[in-house]
Amino acid sequence: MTIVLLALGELKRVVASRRGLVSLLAFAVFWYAVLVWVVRPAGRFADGVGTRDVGAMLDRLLGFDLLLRWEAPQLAVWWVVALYVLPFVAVFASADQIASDRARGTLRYLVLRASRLQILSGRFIGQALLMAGVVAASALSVLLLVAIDRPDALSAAVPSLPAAMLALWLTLLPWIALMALVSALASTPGQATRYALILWVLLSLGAGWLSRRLAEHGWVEYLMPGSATRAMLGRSAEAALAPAAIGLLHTGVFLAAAALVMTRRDL
Amino acid sequence: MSTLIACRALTKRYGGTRALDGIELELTRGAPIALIGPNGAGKTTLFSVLCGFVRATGGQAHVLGEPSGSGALRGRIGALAQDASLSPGVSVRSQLVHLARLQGLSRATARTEAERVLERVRLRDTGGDPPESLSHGMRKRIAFAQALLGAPELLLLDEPTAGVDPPNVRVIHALIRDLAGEVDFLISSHNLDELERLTDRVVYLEAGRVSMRGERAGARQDGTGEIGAAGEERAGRLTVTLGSMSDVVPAADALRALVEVIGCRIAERGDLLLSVDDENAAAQAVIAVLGERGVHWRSLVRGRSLEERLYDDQG
Repeated sequence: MTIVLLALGELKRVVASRRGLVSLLAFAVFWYAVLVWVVRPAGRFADGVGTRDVGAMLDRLLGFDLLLRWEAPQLAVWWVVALYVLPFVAVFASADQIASDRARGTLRYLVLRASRLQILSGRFIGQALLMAGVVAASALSVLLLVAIDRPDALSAAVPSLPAAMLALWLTLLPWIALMALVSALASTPGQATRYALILWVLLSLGAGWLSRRLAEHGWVEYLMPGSATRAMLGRSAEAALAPAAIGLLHTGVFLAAAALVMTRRDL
Repeated sequence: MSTLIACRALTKRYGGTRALDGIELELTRGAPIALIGPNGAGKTTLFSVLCGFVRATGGQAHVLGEPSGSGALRGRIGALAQDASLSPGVSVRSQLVHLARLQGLSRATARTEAERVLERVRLRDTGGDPPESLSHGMRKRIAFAQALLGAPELLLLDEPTAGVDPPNVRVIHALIRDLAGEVDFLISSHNLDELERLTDRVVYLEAGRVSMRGERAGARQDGTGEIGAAGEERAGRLTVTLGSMSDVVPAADALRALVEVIGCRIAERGDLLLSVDDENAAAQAVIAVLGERGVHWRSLVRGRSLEERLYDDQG
């Protein structure tokens, strides 16, 4: 119950505070721009030229045959954009799970009423729920776009969305968990973001070194959080669930590290 | 009487610095306790260990019979942490309800409880405002309000009136006095006048250890680190505060000449510390002689101030 209350409190902190609302508004404006200037033109272009031609073009450009796997080209473009953009949104949105509360001292008031692990879990779940909302909003927005531009494809597009949303959400969880870890380490949200950047670079270098040393082991590429993204790009939503689930392992590792920091660090 | 706080060889190190250096302390439940000492003495660190904010490096600390930071203490202790505040952008009332719910109260009870504590700190009208829109003093009162949520058995207040304006100080003092019979208090402050008014027992920390400095007649010497404060050594003592420092020396000479005064000493900050046999008779004689000489005096109190007991008359 305490964790649920903390998770709901985290959600409320975002949707009921001016700062949170401004952040949500900023995302809405940004996403509107993405829809209007990226997803919609790309979808229309694909419709005009022909799915197979554009598919071949994207195949040459991006190295995979994307459009043929989706019911409407708008969905395919949304899939690619969301896979690359939403992790950044997750990182920035969840950078402040712990840090500013520690700096402000609010964490002390919480610790008198909940265990540190409950606070960590509640904040993580709250952010995960928030990102579920963001994923759902982005999916619904692109569905609206399909309804406007390709009404004939709407009924076929809808069934693929739940799996796509779930896969997208799974890819975001490691980032939220990573930010839980760095937020537990950092003293400010800005410092948490800088820590995340440093950690990202170090992990990239480490994974690159390992993949060169252990090239015969395919699993090495999955050491990095977000490593499943490339595998998910060329797949349908259902087929993308398997690589997306790798994120759960990363999530577990990051949360375990965050729990260690959280329970040991002075407030 | 049951034990409120017990520390055994309690140590906290920050790098090479020993903020707490083997604290041995046992405090019983009862009258409010002052935790005092100079900057860097370890007051806030001890406070933080007792609240579970900070992990001790060594030794043990128990509060209400439970290890500090234990889950069993949740809801049993309330704390006003120095410089801690609620989240910005969300109404105070909403945050108090949230904290009350974390203590296990139902939604309806939590709402009632939030109103109760807001009323208690006389800020019910500002409950709908976010913390950042309130003055520093009002934020302190809100912080006090969150400490009162539920039914805490012990309130730990770290610098409850630091930087607070006099009207808000009065409200906080009144709250502490009102609650003193119901709840145990441990109050850390640099304001000795405040502590003298609010507390009956004093723990003096210095360099991370409990010190016996300032202990005089009536104080306990049982090694617990607890010393008596105002009230225990009032007999045979008067403190006179004059309006002007230029009057101090001639007034002291005049008072020494009184038969009712055994001795008169000038304290560091200019107060006259009198040793007397009969306080009432001596007080009347002092007032008379000062009046005859046209010396303006601001206060005449029995006993000595906590500040003088601790800092001005050591040895």
